[in-house]
Amino acid sequence: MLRAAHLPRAQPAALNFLLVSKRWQQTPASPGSGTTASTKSTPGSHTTQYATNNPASAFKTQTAASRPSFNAPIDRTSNSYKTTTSPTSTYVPPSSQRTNPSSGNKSGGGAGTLVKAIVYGVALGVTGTLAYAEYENDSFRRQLESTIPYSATILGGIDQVIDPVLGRQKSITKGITDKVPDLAYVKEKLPGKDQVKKLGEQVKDATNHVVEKFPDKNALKKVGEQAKDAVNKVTGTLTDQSKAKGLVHQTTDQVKDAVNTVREALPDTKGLKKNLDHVKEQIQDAAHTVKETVKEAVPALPKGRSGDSSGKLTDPVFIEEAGEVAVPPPIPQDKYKKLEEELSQLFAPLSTQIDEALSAAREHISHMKTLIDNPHISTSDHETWKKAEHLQEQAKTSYEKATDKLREWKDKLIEYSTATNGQIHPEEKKLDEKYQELHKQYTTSTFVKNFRTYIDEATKSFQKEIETMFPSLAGKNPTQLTHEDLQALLVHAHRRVVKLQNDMARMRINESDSIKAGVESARSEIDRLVEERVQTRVAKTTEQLTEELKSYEKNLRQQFDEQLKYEIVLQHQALTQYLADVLSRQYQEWAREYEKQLENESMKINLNLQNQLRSTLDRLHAIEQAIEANYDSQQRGRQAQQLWIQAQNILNQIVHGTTTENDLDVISKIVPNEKFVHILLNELKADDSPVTNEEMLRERFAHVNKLCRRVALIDDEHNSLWNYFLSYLQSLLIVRQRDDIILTDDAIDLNRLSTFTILNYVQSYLDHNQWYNALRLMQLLSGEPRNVAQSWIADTRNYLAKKQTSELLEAYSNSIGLGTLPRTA
Amino acid sequence: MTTPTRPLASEEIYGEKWNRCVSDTIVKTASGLALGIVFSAVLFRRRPWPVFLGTGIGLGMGYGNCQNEFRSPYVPGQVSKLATLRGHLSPKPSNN
Repeated sequence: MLRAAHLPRAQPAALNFLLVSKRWQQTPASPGSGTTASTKSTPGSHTTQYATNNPASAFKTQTAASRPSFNAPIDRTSNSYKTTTSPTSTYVPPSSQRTNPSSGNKSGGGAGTLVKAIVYGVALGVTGTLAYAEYENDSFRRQLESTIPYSATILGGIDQVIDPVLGRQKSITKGITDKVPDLAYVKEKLPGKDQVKKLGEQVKDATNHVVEKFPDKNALKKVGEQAKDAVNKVTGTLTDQSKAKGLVHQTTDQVKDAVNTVREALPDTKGLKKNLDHVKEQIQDAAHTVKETVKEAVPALPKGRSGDSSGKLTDPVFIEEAGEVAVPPPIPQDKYKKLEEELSQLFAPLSTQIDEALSAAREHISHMKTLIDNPHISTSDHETWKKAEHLQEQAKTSYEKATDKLREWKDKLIEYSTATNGQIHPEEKKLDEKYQELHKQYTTSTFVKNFRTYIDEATKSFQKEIETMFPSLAGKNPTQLTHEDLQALLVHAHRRVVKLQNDMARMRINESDSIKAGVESARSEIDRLVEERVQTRVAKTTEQLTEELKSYEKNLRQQFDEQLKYEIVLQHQALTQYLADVLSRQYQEWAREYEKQLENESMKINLNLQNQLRSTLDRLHAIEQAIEANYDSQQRGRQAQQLWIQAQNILNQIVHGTTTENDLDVISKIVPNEKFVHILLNELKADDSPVTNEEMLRERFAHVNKLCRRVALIDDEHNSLWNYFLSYLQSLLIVRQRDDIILTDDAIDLNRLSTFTILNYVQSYLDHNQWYNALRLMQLLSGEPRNVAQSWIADTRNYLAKKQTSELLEAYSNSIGLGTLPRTA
Repeated sequence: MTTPTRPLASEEIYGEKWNRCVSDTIVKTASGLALGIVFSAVLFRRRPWPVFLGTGIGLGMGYGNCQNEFRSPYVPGQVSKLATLRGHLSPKPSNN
């Protein structure tokens, strides 16, 4: 940190000192002082940020002007320090600072954390429920699915992920409920036999009602009484002679009226028939309604496809929906249409004809009525009678035509009704009504036709009667009648009236009886018919319904069977697949195991064989090697001998003379393969130091010795010639000790060496041929003597190295030789 | 005697230095003397002081030269001028 090398050039010393002191203060050992330093340097910068730019910059500004070269290092260091210390220093204040803004944030963050907590809680709850539902897969899941709308989809999605993982499958049997689909409700909706019977009874009641509406005895009685009154009136006004005939006529008229009224009041068979038809219609309607209800009850299921969901029928068993209900096959449309067309075609002309006939009949009747009403009718009025006859003829013909046509129509209608199975043509009713009326009118017309004859007969009979009873009166005029005649006539009339009364009473009785009988028979007939019809209709409908039910049931059963088969097939498939999987897996496992075992065994055998092979090979190799080694050793022995000889040669040469290249080459020829020898030889060859031998070195040492003595006082420095002179003088004065005590103690005191002592020692070493010691000691020389002896030292060293090398060579050869000596046990 | 190719041994340098020194001194003295004589004869009307001066200068120069030569740091295998004159070129690679 302290760039001592780069001292500022022009520094106020005080500032420098300040800097240094500051630097020292800012060592990390004293953060407190660091704070003080920082506070010193940065007054009022505590409230600033964490970053130390401000203090550094403040520092910079202080020192910028005077210290450009220092700025960068200072700032860096100070920055680093500031950053390290100011955190510690500003930890206390800005920590409080930080808590302030953080506490400020906390209130805002409190709400945020609350929201977060809520969100987490909700998410946790949802995931928990989903996971539990998924895991449980039973009642809780079903509950969840039923209550929460989209949970089923979510769970289904999760199922798709989890089921393969866990290996769950939606059990098919669980989906099917044990309940057989409830067909009872279908049956309930069917109108039972009771209902149909009820309808029949209703019809019966209606007929009874109708029948009851028939005029009963009271009405007849009334009519009879009317007649009686008329007769009484007649008797009351017996005195009136002038009006006697008129009265008679009136009475006859009245009687006729009474008869007519009676006849009218008679049970009108046509009306009866009409009522019967009406009843029949009612029955038909009832049956129709029954069928309709049946149809409605059995739901009209469309023919379903296997993929569609059963929407209409909440029937969990079936995937497919039942087929169509066995509705009675519809009328083949063409025939129906044709018939209908024909009927409608026939209808129009028929209706017109009927109308015609009707009108004709009506006319006739009206005419006759006028005739009847007219009291002054006389048989001599031929025109009117002819007209009446003509009219009657017309009416008859038209009536016959109408009936023919109607018969045709009826046939067609029957056909139609059989084809449509009882459906009624809409115009049938109208036609029937018309026909009824026509018939009625026609009968009255036929009845009325005979009016004339009746009148004629009546008058004739009356005339005859009068003539027989009162022949005397017959010829007289009405004005000539005497009182007795009149009385006789009156008596006769009275007697006649009584007779008529009796007749009427008898007739009444007869009529009532016949009426009763007729009514009874009609009733019974109606009853029978109704019953029959009802029975047939009921039977038919019940048959139909049972058929339908059976077919429906069959259908359902069939579908159920199919479904069951399908499911069984699926399960079978699944089972077989599962079995196959398990088997294959087992097979694989076992196969793997056995293979492993096989491998192990084979490996073991292999290894055994290999081991044996190796051992035999090793033995073989060892034998070979032994033989070779033997040979080698012999050879090496020979080589060693030669080497030794040569080495000795070299050594001698080194010591006493010079080595020549030939010698070295000879050695390389002897042992071409030895690396060690090669290295040594290379060393010897490379050694191009001047060839010396021992004697030369000794001589040189004597010279060196002398010189060293002469320059003993000269050091490395402060050499002047005067010193040289002095050292020479000294050398002349110092006398060498010739004791051998020098070498008695081997330990040389190294602290008390001087040039002379060293030289003495070395001389003695050389005398005793201890070259290494001599060399070592010589190296302890210092100063000018060292310089003088330098080359001698180097040469001695080289010589000794060479010698060593050659000795090594010799030793090596010895070692080889020793190695090849036969081993003695 | 050394062969011309062999570099100088260190002990011989000492001797060589002395040789050079002495010869140089003699030469300088003589030349100083001569110059002194010349100067005294020519410029200074045969006064004796230039001779002595010259001689002294010569001696002093020689002495100084000698001293400097002996003071020069000893480099092993240093080739002296005389050795170069003799033809010893490459210094021996130091084995120290």
